Amino acid sequence: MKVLLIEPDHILALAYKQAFENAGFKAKICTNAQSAITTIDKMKPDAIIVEILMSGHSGVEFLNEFRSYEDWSSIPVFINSSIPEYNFGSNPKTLASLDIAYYFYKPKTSLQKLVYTVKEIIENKNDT
Amino acid sequence: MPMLLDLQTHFLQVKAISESDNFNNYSLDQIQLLSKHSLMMMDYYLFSIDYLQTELPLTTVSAAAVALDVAENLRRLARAYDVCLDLDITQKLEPVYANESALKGILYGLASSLIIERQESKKVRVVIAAQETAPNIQRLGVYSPDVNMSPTSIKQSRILAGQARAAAPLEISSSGLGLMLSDQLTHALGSKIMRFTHRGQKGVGFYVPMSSQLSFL
Repeated sequence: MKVLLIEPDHILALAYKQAFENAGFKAKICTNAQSAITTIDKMKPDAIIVEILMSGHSGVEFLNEFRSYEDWSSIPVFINSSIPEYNFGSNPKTLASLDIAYYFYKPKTSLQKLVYTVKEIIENKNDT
Repeated sequence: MPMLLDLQTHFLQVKAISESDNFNNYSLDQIQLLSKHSLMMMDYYLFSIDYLQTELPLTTVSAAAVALDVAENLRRLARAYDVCLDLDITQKLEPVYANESALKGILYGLASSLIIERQESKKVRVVIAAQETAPNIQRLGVYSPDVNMSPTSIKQSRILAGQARAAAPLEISSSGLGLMLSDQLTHALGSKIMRFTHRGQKGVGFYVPMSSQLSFL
């Protein structure tokens, strides 16, 4: 299983990458939305984990673009952010329209929970 | 409030490192490093608040020594972010009449922001420089050949201060804590953060006026 981590902070990104690799994933890091689009095209990940607080193009802008490509519509996207879900945008329908598989709030999510939840959702998706 | 939001990233780093299955002595070093950096930022932030309304006490200070001290303090953080941190003091600099803690806080805020905002898959170089740009005028600044700093991006960083994660006066910034700290402290010194070019590298810095009396020494 392959995951793409879109995480602007270098140290956090390395910690997440290592946790996923320890669980048997192949993980790749992108620190911004622009490079993520290119990487998805090459990597064909089974899941994308994105921080929405990013510089340049935000995670929401990335997700809007990402969801506009039909061939990527089946790739589950997880938000792993340092802002809580209730602060996510002004429109409560935003999350639903972006088809988010799960929202992780970083301060309350352990590495183990992050990896386990992503793994479980990918496996369930592959089973169906 | 901005401080709390910006420090959140460092707490998250410590949390993630401590939860790792591969926790080892290097992890412990990283936790110590990130804690020390967070405490330094808090210290400079509190210092800047203390002097928002009152005048900074001024003494004779060596700008070169300030640049050297900040570079030494940030060397390990730079290594953790895979950033090459250099120091450029090629001239003999006369002492300036300023506040040493403020000078250090400004440079520390700017340089740490640049380090934290490194770009992926590319070796980033950050240079801390102290120079005399005109007789009796010294400039301290932080530059990078790898990061594009436009006036617009600096303005955006100021708007974003405190809204998100750790900071940088760059187009890629997401918060602006470093710039906010530096803005407050340069204001207290009677100077301001500006965009400069140094040896072909773009960056940000500030002028430190030199005392005319000291220049005779």
